Amino acid sequence: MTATIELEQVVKTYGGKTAVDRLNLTIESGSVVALLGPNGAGKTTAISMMLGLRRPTSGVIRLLGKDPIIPSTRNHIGAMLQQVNLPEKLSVTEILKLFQSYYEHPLDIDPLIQLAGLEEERKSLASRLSGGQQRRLQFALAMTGNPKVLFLDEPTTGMDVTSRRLFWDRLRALSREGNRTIVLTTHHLEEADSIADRVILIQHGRKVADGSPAQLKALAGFRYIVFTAGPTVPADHISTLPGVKSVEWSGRRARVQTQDSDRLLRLLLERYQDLTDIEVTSGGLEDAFISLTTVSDPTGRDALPRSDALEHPLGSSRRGQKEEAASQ
Amino acid sequence: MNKAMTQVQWEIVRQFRNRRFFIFTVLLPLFYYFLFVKIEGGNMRVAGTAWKSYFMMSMAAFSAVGAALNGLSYRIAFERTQGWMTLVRTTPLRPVYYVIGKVAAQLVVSATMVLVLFLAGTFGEGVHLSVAQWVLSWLWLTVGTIPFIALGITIGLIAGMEASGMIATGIYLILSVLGGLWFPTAIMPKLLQDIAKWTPTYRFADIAWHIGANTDPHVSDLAVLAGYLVVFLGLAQWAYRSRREDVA
Repeated sequence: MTATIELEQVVKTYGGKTAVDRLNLTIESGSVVALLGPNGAGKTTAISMMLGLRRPTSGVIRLLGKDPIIPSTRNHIGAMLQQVNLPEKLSVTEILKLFQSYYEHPLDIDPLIQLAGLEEERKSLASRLSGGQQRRLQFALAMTGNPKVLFLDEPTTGMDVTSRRLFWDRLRALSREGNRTIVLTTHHLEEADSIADRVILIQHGRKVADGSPAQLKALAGFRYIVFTAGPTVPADHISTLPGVKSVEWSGRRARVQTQDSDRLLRLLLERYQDLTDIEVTSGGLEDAFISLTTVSDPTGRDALPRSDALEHPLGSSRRGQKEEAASQ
Repeated sequence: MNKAMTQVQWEIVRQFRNRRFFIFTVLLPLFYYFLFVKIEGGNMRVAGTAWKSYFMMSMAAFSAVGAALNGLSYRIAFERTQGWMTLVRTTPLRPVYYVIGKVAAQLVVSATMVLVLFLAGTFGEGVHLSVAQWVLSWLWLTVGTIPFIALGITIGLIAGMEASGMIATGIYLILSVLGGLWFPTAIMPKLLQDIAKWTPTYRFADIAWHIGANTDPHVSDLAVLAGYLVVFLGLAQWAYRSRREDVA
């Protein structure tokens, strides 16, 4: 495996604010890497620097072994950015043809249209497409140069649930063919969990965790014991048991967070007869995310409280609905 | 070369599909041409030539300047503010070719506009010029739009989408009237005549009027236009630098 992207001590400041703070990163070719973090964590800034759209304040970035701003390097990359509106008065096919002219060895129109799933809309004006369709066309644009490295900045923003799953399937297929490297930013944990083979957690411009989704879940070190407590179980007592980190109740259903699920489970079974439907899980990436981003804040001042964290970086379902409504 | 042609091609397609462009730079000059030749009589003498020939040059200049200002500034503003330019910067296309593609397309559009007015003059009003006069004035009215293309790009770089359209149209109409494209400067009051001499539109059209009248153009026309070109290019460069983020 060779390094496709390398960042050494990369810093980016805007008017005294540090967006990216001493970021070190090596991304191997053929990997699918998700930069995950809350909004404003510095993911987009990091990706723009890898693309050569912004220059780092200090530090070194190498893309395919070279400075990202070199045009010959750009023949081998493709990018899907946030907040791009397609030119007016041009059809889907026409925009793709225009984009083809920028690259030395572009892909043909038909496979690109297929990739975007826009067979029906190939003659429609791109500016008239729905939000989700426009995003898919932008994905096809990113693929036009048959890139070795594909950068996707929040790729599924504006897509509904069905398009999103379809998009993930396409992406997984693409990552398997050739030795394509895919770097995406997302605040959807589900997205990172389902397509990335490596997740880099970024907060306040710093890397706070780096590993496979499974490693990250393990890194958080928590397991969850879920059960339904009968009427004889005193709810208040559960949280005072040794080894219990926190308890969430929904009705009589408890979700207990702990670092040693074996010992706690024995204790629970010893003390209470009336526990039913018991499950032990390692928690999702979501739980790992919350515990990692909360613990890692050095000042502790703006550590995300649990409820806030749930709404802010993980508000995927809510945001998703809003975006869907807006795109229709 | 093929690649450059593709960009020019789609740029032209975008221009001609724009309704505002079509009204202002195709229909309006044609309408004015036939209207004012009808009102004044085509054979009235103006600046040593027939009105129908003089005014054909005026309207061809009006149309070509409009093409350079109207559509282009909006497209630049759109592509700059709506993320398209940023996306194009991730491709291997060098920025200089992006600009060359836009300018080349605009020149083709100008040449077409002038041709439309020339055809209207010949077949509609029976304007007679020598082959050399036709070719020279056609070439000049096309190439001479370069300062206005630079101005169009500058407006697009400075103003947002909404503002660029209004600013471009405003500048276009004011420069056209002041520069004597609508009414010959000869019938203007002295003060306006003096002002006209400093407008790029007057200088641009003046060379075409001279070619139409078969008299020698003034060197000062070229000098003033060149001055404007330098100013507009400087402004465009300043706008580009100050508006883009810290880029490569």
